[in-house]
Amino acid sequence: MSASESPARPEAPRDGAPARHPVGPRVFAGVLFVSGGGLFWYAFTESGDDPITLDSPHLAPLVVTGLWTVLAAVLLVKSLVRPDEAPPADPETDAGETDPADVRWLTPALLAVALVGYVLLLPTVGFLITTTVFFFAAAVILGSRRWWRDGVIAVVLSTAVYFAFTRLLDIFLPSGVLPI
Amino acid sequence: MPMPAMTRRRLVALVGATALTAVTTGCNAEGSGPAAEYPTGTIQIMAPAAAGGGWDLTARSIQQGLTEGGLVEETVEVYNVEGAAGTLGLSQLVTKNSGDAHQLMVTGLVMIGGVVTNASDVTLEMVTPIATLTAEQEVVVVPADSEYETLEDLMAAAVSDPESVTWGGGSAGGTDQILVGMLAQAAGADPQAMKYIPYSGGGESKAALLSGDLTAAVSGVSEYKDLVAAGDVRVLATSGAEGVDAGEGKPSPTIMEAGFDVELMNWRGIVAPPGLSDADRDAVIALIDELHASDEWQRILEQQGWDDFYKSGDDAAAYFASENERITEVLREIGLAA
Amino acid sequence: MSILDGLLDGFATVLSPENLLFAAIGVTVGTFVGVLPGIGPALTIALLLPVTFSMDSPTGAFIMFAGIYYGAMYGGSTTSILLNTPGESASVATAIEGHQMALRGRAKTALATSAIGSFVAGTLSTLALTLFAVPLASLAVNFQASDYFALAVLAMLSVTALVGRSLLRGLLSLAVGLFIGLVGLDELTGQARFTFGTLELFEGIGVTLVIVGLFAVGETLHVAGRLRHLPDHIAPLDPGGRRVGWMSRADLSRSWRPWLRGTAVGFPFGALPAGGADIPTFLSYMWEKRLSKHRKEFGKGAVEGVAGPEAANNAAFSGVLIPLLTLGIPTSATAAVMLASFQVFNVQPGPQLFEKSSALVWALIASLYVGNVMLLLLNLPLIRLWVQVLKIPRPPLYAGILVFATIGVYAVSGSVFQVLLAYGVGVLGLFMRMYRFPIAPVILGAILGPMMEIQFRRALLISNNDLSVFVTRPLTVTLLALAVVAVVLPFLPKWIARLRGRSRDRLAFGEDD
Repeated sequence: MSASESPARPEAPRDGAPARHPVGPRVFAGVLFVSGGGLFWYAFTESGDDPITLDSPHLAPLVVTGLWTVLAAVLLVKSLVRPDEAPPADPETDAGETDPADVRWLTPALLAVALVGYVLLLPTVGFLITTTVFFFAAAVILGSRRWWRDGVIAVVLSTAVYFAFTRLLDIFLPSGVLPI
Repeated sequence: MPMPAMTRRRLVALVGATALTAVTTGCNAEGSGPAAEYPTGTIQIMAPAAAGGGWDLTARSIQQGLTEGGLVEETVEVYNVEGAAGTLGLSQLVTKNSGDAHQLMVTGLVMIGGVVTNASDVTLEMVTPIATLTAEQEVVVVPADSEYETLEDLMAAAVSDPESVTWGGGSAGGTDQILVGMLAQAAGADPQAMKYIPYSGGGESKAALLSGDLTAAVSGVSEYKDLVAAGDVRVLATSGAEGVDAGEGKPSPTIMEAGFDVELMNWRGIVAPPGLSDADRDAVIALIDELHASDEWQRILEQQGWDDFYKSGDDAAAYFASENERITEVLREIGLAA
Repeated sequence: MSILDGLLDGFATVLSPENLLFAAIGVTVGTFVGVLPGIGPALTIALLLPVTFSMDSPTGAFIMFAGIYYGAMYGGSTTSILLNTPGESASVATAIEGHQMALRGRAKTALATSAIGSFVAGTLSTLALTLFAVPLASLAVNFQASDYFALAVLAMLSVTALVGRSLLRGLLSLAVGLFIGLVGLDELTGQARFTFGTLELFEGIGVTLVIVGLFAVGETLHVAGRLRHLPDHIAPLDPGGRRVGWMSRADLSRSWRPWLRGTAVGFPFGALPAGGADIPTFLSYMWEKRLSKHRKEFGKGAVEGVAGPEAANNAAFSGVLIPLLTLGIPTSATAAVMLASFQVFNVQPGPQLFEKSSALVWALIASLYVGNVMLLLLNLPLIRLWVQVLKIPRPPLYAGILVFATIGVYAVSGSVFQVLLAYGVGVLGLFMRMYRFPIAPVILGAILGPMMEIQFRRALLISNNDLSVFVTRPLTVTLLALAVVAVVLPFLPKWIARLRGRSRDRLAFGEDD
């Protein structure tokens, strides 16, 4: 469900007043509403012709996705009607107070792409090569410019982890194309 | 620096192995030979479940037996493929590893249930049976203060009023529920009418038995040994051909002895992918035969408290087939299979 | 076995060189990850789970995990005080006063009152755990399905009532968590739910996977989007280059009562099925603020505002162990991964745990005493070392977290699909963080939801579909009544209602009554 969402959401418009009404929260509320509705429909079809009794396995899916859809609908309406009422800061996540509109989406999007490439190639190409390349790429995407340091860490980390896991801890990691 | 040394050693081993493979293939072409050259590379054993479970432990024990028992010089690796009671691992073995004698998979009674209940396209009949290794008997227990003194009492109540007996055990379609279904069949009751409550893991059903939620619980013998020994629960019967000590300090009565024609062992075994040449198949069987005969394996059995349940080659194949048939049948009667 | 015998046996186990080593590794790793912003104890244990598979006995693994849990709390307060980035919500209260103290050149006093307070609270609450666990376990033997259901309701409602600033967002997070918990084969009937025809989803979405996805992947993606905004100013330990002392006599006399009060709040709240450490730390903060003679200092670095919440935070951990060990109910993310690791070793927490695995449990409890001593020694004298950890550059740090998240999931499941699923949960977590949805209800929903549903249906099945089972058992009725109280209570006295107050600013700086 969430995997299909594109991380490359458009940035909030920055011209004048709309900048205070970032479009992101409304789009997210919309996505939540649509996916909740879709899941509710799926739960409904999954229950087939079975009667929905209290002890039925189909009751909880309907209740949960129904609740989800209704809550998302309320959130969506609220964000459309009163868009400038910003959600209150959450100390759990907001150490450095960031305006959602101020986020650069490119970095997380690139990281997500790198992650997916990493795990898809992991079983065939092998742990050592993919991990070295991914670590280096991730560090660069995250803004590091110290190529040598990151390159050395990448090689040392992947080699150390590979041999520690496979030789000391008996945990399988794919060796892939390397003859090790 | 141990690392480059290790790599070099492995490289040498690899070159040697390639040469050996060429020789083996030559031999096989002539159709001769005890395939003593197996293995010619890294053996990979799949545990078709998450790390930490029973299959995982079996796979790692085989690994330990093969390497520390000195039976193979090559590396033996264990990897996990989690999902759907082992059917995901099974389908991976069948589709990806066909013909590769170095790919082995741990299996067991539970996988038959998994294939049936998940309506999997890939079944256990498609793989190359190698051996059964261990088995555990099931046990039927009631709380110490239960009104049911014997299995006959309990089954009589379950037949006349199925709602009055609440059974508990492991996951839906698993060994425990299969046994309850078989008992109902043997007693002349409708297996589908049995009130069976699945729990995840033996611990949970134990708590439910002691709290009074359950009338009777079914589980592996080892699960209830402590409680039986402490006098908290009473053993009604065990499911094997011969009684084992389920914690009472003496062999408990079997279900057969209680007058019901039911025998069930929760076995585990090992299989190879489909499409193996006869020589490869014989070589793998020979290696597992050797493993079973080794002191290291006997030591592992004792340490883990597993009962030896060894059938290999054609015996194993025949056993897999008959189990497949009868378990599928029971699950159909319980209503868990189409 | 008596409690004293058990505890002595436990100490005998822990004081073996091997287990002492595990304890030392645990507290060191724990402090390390606690200091690192963005990694909490839950994630660390989830990632270390594969490492323990090759261990022969679970005892060492659990001693290590308990050390990680405690250590992460000590380390977390260091970061909160010096950098003002609370790693988890339970450290928020510490960050408020502690960082203010650090900015005023009193970093060492804040660190000392937090470390010593953690030690005092940790030790006292472990003592309480030692005394109460066995009696509570023998009580728990009688819990039936309907009681477990009522407990789950109690836990769920209390969590919902306190989900945070925005009730709507909190409930949505909870719904997402409940949905995650539903995916897979239904435990009672074996029917597929939300599996979308994929065998890969038949066994459901594991809590460990959700935690790795939300905390490792989601957190890293979130940080990646705002790297430039991260605070990087570390408050100096010795401002102006002159060495300052740890605690003055005045600081000590202002701290010891808050330590004891924090313990008194933290332990019982942790032990409630609705536990966790967030609520008691805030309660303790509010309490200290009301009682303090130096109320004007609050918001500007009051030592009581660090001492109380830190004590409550550590005391809550021992409390959380009570429902985990005696009932098998995890009430925090870390407890959930600990439960998962128990199950890896085929140890089932619950009423029988103290009988069946008494050696293991007592070793675990004894290791808590030992770990607390180790942490006190590890934290104050070596504080300069931990400050260095704060300076680890972010790009390689987060790249490493992503690598370990990936192999953590891959090594356990052997499935690319599961890893992608964790990434997907991470992307969801990114958006939730971005748009200020609380994360904790997702995890609690995924843990408590299935328990509530399955026990409800079990109770119905056992009673042959007689709903009266929920109103005829005294224990069930009592627990359900408590659940109602849990919902109503926050609306009664004003100071509890303020817990759900509108913003952190008001919590920190508002004029209190």
